[in-house]
Amino acid sequence: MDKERNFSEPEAVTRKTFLQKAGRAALTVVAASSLPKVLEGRSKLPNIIFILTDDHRWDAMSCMKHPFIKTPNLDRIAGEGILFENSFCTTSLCSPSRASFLTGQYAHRHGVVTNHTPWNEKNTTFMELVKKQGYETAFIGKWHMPGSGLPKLRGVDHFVTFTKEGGQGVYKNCPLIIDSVETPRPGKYITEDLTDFALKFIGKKRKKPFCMYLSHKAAHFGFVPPKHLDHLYDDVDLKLPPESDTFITYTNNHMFVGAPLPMNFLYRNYCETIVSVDEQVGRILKTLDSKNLTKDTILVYAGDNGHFFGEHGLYDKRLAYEESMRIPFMVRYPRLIKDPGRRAGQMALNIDLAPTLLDLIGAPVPKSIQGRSLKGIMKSKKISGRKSWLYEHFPVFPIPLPGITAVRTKRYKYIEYQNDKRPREIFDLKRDPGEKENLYAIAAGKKLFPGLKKELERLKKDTDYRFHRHG
Amino acid sequence: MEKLSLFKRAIIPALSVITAMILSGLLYDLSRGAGTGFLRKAILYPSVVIMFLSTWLGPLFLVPIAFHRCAKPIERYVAALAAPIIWTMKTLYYFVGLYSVSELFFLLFHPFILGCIGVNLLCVGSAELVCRALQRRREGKTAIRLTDPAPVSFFALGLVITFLGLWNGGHSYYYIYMDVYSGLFL
Repeated sequence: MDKERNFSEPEAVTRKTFLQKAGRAALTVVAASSLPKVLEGRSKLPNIIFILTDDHRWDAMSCMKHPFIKTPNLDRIAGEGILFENSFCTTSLCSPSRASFLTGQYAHRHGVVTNHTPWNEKNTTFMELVKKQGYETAFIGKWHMPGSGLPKLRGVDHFVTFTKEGGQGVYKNCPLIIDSVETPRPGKYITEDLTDFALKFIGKKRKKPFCMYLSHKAAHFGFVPPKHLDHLYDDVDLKLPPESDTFITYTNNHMFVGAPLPMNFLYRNYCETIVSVDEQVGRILKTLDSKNLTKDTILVYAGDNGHFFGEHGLYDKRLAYEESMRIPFMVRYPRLIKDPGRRAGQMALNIDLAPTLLDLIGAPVPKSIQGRSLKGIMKSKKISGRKSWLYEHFPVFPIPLPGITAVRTKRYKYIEYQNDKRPREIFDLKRDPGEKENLYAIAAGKKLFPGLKKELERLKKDTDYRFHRHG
Repeated sequence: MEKLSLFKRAIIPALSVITAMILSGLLYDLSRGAGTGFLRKAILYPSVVIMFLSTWLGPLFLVPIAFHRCAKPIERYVAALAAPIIWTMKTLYYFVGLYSVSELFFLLFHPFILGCIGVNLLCVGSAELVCRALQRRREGKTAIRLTDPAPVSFFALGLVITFLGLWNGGHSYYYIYMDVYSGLFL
């Protein structure tokens, strides 16, 4: 070839030149035709973020009219998504409820019936199923299920967690295990530290969609807010129920749950800790906005179980009363939800998370999952939802509470205790939302009992219920 | 002092502490029905204070009274430990039917149950040693032996148990306790 070709002269077309240009043209056409599919593929599969907090009461948010807690970021999720006002955990205890979120199964099925019974490695989590759809996945935060060490967690690409204090972690300077490497975290406040990891994961450059399970220690006992929020609620009127008193944590066997401090003091710290959770949720929302991921991300916020602060003269959780079993549960997914801000009254359960997420991404939902997809309710308020569900609690050493089974319908609740160690209870939640009047032994209760008992037995049979003596 | 009967020198002091423990507990529960005003507080705070004193620090009152009434050492110790033993039995009763006999036995080592017994032992030992020291000061060093094995043992054992319960805010002992439980029973 003549190196000094004059570019003003037209190039002579040889067979080689023709073939080279035709080849390039063909490649361009193929690339162009596949590009929309790739883009379409990315927007077809939404990202998933599930934020799970600990002991966060269903009413401890300003959108649920809490008398003084301000949670603007959680309110934003509710305002831009759907707030399931009647959401519950099927067992009000950390480990069983967390395993239920992950597997979509009742505790008696997945086997983590208490905070002592080990995680079964054969359990399939929704993370594993989501991963099969091509997601990059991360589990960040509180695992808190016993076993010999941490689980292998199939389907999780990045695993950041902690094992200090039996997996409960500590609020400050909590060492983390980052992809199997124990790493001290001096000077870190755990809610912020875990959120930093979450933001790093969200911000990664990637071609696949991502699924992130962010599981906070907050607002579990310890109730340690960050420095800038400490004393925020020192002077507020707590507006605790009339039967409450600050000594409840010391009396009537409550000390066995291990919170030997005055209850009013603990409650103030608890509320301040909730505010810190809200702040960290705000960082995630801001990051999603800045990266234009908001519309294509399914964001779910939930609590693992509720908590008594004086209601019925109680502290802690476990029992089948509303304050213990109700949880916050809200979903934001702009591409699907056409009436953001709706408050769904249909009953939703922790075991519904897994099938809902799988349904939303078009993945098959295994028959072993016992929860139901909430996608229909998210699309339309006309879907009626479930009529009843089973609540269960198993004896957990060293707490002097018997096993509990209960049926919760839209209006009523019937509670039974192991060996009738405590009197059976029936409540009309419409007339008596505070569950002050046990109807079981009176005429009204005697009328309701046969139907509720039958429903409880049906639910136990349908869910293959089995009593676990203890754990 | 005129020699008092066993009933007066040991049983009445023990019954006083036990009665205070029971009544204060009942009053505490009843206080819930007294509204939210002054009456509630008037019942609540005294009942809580008496509950705590009678359950955890009863020997600090009982031992000096029994000592002054010339109760024998064994009578003083049994009377002083009656209330915490009754409290322990009452507490264990709530676990009956939920856990096995061996787990119930293991419960005796629970931080709060062992702690209650430990603090009471510490109080028995302390009160006893103080009472003996005071008597020696009044009546001379030959009046009574100060470092009798029983009160010294109670004091030492009580101190160790109390320390274990308070070590790292109770967390350390609790997690060891639960690890042992898991190893033994799960």
